[in-house]
Amino acid sequence: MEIVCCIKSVPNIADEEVQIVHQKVSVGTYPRCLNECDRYVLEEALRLTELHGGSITALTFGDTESEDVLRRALALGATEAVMLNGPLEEEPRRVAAALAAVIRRRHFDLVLTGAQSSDRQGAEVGGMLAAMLGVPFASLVVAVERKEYGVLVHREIEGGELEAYEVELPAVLSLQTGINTPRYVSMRGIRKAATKTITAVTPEAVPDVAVRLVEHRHPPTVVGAKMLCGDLKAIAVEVASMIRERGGLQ
Amino acid sequence: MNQVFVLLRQVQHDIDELGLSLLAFATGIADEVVAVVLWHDDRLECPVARLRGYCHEAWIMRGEGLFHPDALALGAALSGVVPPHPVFLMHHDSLAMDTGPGVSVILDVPFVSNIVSLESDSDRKTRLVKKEYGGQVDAVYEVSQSLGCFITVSGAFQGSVGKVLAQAPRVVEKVVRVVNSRRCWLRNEQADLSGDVDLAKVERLLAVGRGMQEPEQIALAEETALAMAGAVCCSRPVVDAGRLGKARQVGISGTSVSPKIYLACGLSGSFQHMAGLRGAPFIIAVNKNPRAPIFERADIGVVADGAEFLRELISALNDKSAAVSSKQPS
Repeated sequence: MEIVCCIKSVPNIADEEVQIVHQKVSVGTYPRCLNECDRYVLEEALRLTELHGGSITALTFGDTESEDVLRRALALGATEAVMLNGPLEEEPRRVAAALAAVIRRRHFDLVLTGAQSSDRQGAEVGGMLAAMLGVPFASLVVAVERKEYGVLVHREIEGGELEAYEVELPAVLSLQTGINTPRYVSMRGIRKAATKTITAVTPEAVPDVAVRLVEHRHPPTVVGAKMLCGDLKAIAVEVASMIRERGGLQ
Repeated sequence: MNQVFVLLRQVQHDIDELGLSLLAFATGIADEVVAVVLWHDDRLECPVARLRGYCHEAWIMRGEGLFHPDALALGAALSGVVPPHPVFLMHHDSLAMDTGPGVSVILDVPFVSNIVSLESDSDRKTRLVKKEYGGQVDAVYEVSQSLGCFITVSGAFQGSVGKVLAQAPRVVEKVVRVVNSRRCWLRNEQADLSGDVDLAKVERLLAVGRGMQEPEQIALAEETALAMAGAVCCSRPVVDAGRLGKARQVGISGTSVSPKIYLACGLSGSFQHMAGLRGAPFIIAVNKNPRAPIFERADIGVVADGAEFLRELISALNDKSAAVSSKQPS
């Protein structure tokens, strides 16, 4: 199977408080990491090509710091890495158009994307990309199985239920977290990846999109919780008392 | 706005409730509201009756390719019947995530997903707010109404209900022939949620999130849950990391629970997780980040490291003298 993995470098916010400067998230103040969903994307591509043969092309749209996620993909076993240079916070429609312009020039069976990015959380690029390529799409995919007709995929829907679809190839799938167990990058892989070439591509001109980011802002502080402050031991005693009284604990 | 289309779907033999609430909102922002219903049953009495008061016109969309449609089929169906640059609202569910982005490309309109609020202004601009960065940031986007837009709306959407329309909607049946590029051969298979504990029956739950998912932290949570005579549950990332089983996951794609006490540690409180909390539990939230969304919903908040707090809480819960004194009348 010829698989293209669309992956993204994102600010590694973890449990930190997000800083907003001049009405925009201060992306540059955070270290970067591979988008969480995309860890599963690379693993699924590795799993499928190990089972059925083929190649993996890792593709990202982003700034120069985004190159790290391509190195990681190469270290894991991707055959090729392609970098589309552009601003990290580019509008999803423009990102999808740029990715589509690269992908439609190559032979591919599957394009895999993450269900969403941890920064924008839009779950947009995969579906847009499929429509631009004119191929089937399935989102929230939690299982992929190669069949004669293409792939059998399971989608996660509301209430913990699943839908199964027969999908002909080529197709685009956006993968949900938990679909597999991502492997760690080996030291040998990292050494090999350091010497591999990343193909840099300048995105084709794409039309302007009509969605304009006006501002980022912290949500208004809602006085919901009564905040307990002071000595942690004293707070724990107070909370234990609440658990006994309100939780019916003897 | 002049005209707003609201996309609804059939659930069992009824119209989805969240879609109806979107229609109710749309009547307050648009001169004309059109309900576009993906309907499979032969009989139309249900949608016709349910839509009364909610819209000016109801399009009942039918056709084989619209059964669990993909974006290509739905986009083809809609592009044949809507005017240029339509404004669409759709509840942000699994169907919207599957079709919305692709349909927006096919209809050539902007797309904004999972919004929590919407404002129109006199300059014919619409401002849409969505949650980003794990709910820590409100991102405000602006679109021009003249270009149309496909908007998916979060279950956490805050919008006032518009007017109830006196006249019954004009019902138009639209049978479309489109090809669905996928075949849905099985649906509603329940994911395996069986496990060692039935969370729905537990009265005191200790929920752990991404900030408490290391093995030693989970062991600490288990020890605390034992002292609480309760059980440990979690948010999705903990299951994805393989630290707890799917049966322990609370949220939209996990189990729904209705405990008396919900102690959440290292858990941000995403909408997807909190949607699994039913009833009116007393929520105690512990998080290092004072801006964590969980504090909006909690009754009691503590800004602290979850593991450090639980160590103190175990001591406090195991202090029998404190247990006795807490029962003394004050």
